[in-house]
Order: sequence, then structure tokens, then C-alpha cells
Amino acid sequence: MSDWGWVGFGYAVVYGSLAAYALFLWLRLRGARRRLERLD
Amino acid sequence: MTGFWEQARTITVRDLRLERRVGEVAWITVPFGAVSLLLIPLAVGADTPLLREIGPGLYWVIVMLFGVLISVRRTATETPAQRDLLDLLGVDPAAAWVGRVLSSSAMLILFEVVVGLAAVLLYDISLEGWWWLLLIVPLAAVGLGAMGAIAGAVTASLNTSVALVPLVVAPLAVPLLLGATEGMDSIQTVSGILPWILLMVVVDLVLAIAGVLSARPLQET
Amino acid sequence: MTTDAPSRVSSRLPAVVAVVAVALALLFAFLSPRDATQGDLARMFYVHVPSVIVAYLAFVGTMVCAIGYLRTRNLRWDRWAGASAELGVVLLGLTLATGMIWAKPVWGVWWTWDARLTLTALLFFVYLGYLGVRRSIADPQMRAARSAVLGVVAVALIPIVHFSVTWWRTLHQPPTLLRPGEIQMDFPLVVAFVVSLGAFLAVSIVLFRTRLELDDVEAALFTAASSGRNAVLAGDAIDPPPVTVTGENRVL
Repeated sequence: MSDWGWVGFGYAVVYGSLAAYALFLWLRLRGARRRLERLD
Repeated sequence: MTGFWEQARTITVRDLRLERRVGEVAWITVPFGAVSLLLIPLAVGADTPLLREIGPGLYWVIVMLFGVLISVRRTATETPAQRDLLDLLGVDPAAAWVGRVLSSSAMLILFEVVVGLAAVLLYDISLEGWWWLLLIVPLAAVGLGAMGAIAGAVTASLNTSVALVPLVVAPLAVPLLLGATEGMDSIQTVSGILPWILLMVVVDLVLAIAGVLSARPLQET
Repeated sequence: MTTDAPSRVSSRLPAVVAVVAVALALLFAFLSPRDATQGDLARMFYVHVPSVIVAYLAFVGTMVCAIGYLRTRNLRWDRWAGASAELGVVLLGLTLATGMIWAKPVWGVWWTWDARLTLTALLFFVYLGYLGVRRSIADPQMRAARSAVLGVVAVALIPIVHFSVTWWRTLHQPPTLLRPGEIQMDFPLVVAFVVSLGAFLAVSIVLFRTRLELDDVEAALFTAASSGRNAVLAGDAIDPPPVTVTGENRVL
């Protein structure tokens, strides 16, 4: 793999993981908010 | 009201008496350590020079990973009711902690000695400078016992996984591991081994202080 | 439920800032000149080093909040500690991953046992254990107190671990080679690094705040589910005794 390939892979891992974590948190938050609304 | 050390001694004696009755360490944990030694040559090859070289290190890793299970053995874990009873009897939680660590350390020494003998026999490890082990073995035992006791108190709850205490202890036990392995590697000169022994002493002291200070706050949770 | 426009804008602002910061960081990382020795691979520096810096900040935050909880017994401190630790673990994991992705093309191996990398891995597992303890305790006060004690004890031991591993490495030092992580920082590279660090900080703040909000909502769920008409009554725990008409099973 070329140097740019490695760099691209690394950046994809980093920013992709951060985005995935953000999405994961946001989905859980949305689900929890909905459950809370239903209880109220 | 009985004194601190008398309370600690009572707990230690109780733990040791319980172990003599149940034999959890002697008949389960120690054999577990020994069988691990047996598995290794099956995996890396029964090449005696290789085993002689990596044996001591692997032995200490087994002590660190499996020995810590002695601190959280079933016969040492207390239900909340038992803890409350000790509290009502006026037992100082710090004294109970010290007593528990002393008994765990004693059993860890047994573990280290028996499994160590097995390692010497199976891997043909030379016992040059064995007298240093008279220092290293108890220092490792006390350190692991204390770490296991603190980790056990922190994780004591209904949902605890069996592997949680080893997970918590393993990275923090690295100074003990390095002290034991590097220490035994450096027995050629006193100035080579003494710093490593000093390191282990420092770790044990830090853990002793941490354990005593955290005993009551943890008791109250 | 109505949300008024100003609060929606202000609550979205950090996320917008973070996205813009990331875009800028990518741009600068792409445009910055090649390094003299490591060439284009040195661009890994812009994600590897900021992630470890912010991870360390997060762990310091966890310690401060753990002590804050132990002094005030206010659960707010504990929520901050937990969110901070989780963020730190994610970032430290990325540090390890980027370190490996960087090392492989430069060294030909994924891992080198130098002190810094080994210590990073150990720290990762320490905080993984911390999170494991938090996950295994349901009661908020118990979880807060126990994890705070563990946090303080771990912090007391980490310098000793650091010292012992560094000492161990100096005894067994392999021939000195350029370590991944050392590149010559000329001004354009410094700029790119600072922009990347800013992006990591912005993203981390957003993640941290979202995690806190999630904790708050889940705590509210916990209290709502155990109060009002959903409340658990003492009598619920008792099953009515089986009463039959025949003489044998008579309770009274």
C-alpha cells in the first residue's frame, strides 16, 4: 500500500470512529428521550 | 474495644482457618497455576533451553494473573450482611482489610512456592541467588494481596464478572512483575537487584496506605 | 414539545463548530508539506498526537471529578468523571490504532515495545477496567463512590508503573532508531498540528456534552420509572399465599 493509502486508512479509522461514536451516542440519546416522553 | 492489630489478627486467623477447612487455594488455585505451567511447553515447544530462558518470566506472569484470584476467592468474599455484622461488632474496616491482606498474602506465598517449585522442575530453572527470593516472594505476595483486596472491595456487587478483578489488577501490577523478573535477572550484583526490590517495597507501601484509607469509604457504600 | 429557535441554534453550535474544525483539519493535513524524513506518512502525526493529548486531558478530568465527588458526594461530579473516562478510552484506543497504522509502513511491524507505546497500552487497559467497574454497578451512589476510590488508587500507582516501564526499557534498549512520533516541526507543520488539535478538542467537547446529556436523560428515566404509578411498592415483593379449600394447604 502506498504512503497516501496508509494515511488515508489511518484518517478513515480516526474520523470514522469518532463519527461512529457520536452517532452511537446520539441514537441512544434519541431513544432515551422518546422513552422519557412516553412515560411523562 | 479491641485494638487494631488484634482485630486484624482475628480476621487473618479466621481466614486461614477457613482455608484449612475448605482448601480452596491449596486444592484449586495452586493446581490451576501448576497446570498453566504444563500447558506452556505444549504451546511453545518442549525445548528445554527455550523454557529455561522464558520460564521465570512466564512463572511470574502466572503469579500475577492467577495469584490475584486468591484475593477474591469465594471463601474471602463477604456478603453485605456479613460486612454489616462486622461493622456492628465494632470491627475497624481498615483492620479487617489488613487482616484479609495478611491471610491472602500468606496463601499467595504458598501459591508462589508450590508453583515455583513446579516451574523449577519442569523448566530446569537454575536457583542461583535463591536467597533473594526470600525477599521477592513475600513482597510480590503482599502487593498482589493488597491490590486484589482493594480491587475486590471496589468491585463487590451482584453483577461482578469473575474477570473484572484480574482486569483491573493486571496493568497496575506491572511494577511488581518487573520488580520480580528484572530483580531476579540482576542478582549478579547487589546494586543491580536492590533498586528493583526497593520498587516493590514502594508499591507495597502505597497500596497499604491506599487500602487502609479507602477501607471505611468503601465499607459505607 | 416545542423548542424555541434560539436554544436549538445554541445547542447545535458546538456540533457545527466541530464539523467545520474537522473539515479545516483535513484540509490542512492534506495541504501541509511532506516531512523531510518520513514523507507523507508523517501526516499520521496530526491524528496520532492530538488524540493522545486530548485523551490525557480527559483522564486528568476524570481524576479531578473523582476527587470532586469524594469531597462533595454530588453525583454531578461522578457523571463528569464517567463521561470523561469513556471519551479518554475511545481517544486512547485511537492513539494505539494510529500508532500501529503509522508504525507498520515505517518499521514493518505493527508494534514496537518502546516505553511510551507500552505505557499507552497499559493506561488504556487501566481505564477500560475503570469503565468495567462502572458498568457492573447499578446503584448510582455506590458506583460513584467505588469508581472514585478506584480512580484515586489507580492515579497513585500510574506514576510508579510509568517509572518502572521506562526503567525497564532503558535496561533493554534496542539500537536507537527514529521513533514514530518524532518529526521535524517546521512552521507549516505546526499550523496543521494546531488546527488538528483544535478539531479534536471541538469534537471531544461535543461528544462529552452528548454523553452527559445521555446520562441525565437515563437518570431521569430511572427516577421516572421508579416513581408515580410505576413505583415499586413494598407489597409487590410478596406473592399471595396459595390458598386452597382442602384442609392440607390451609394457611391459617
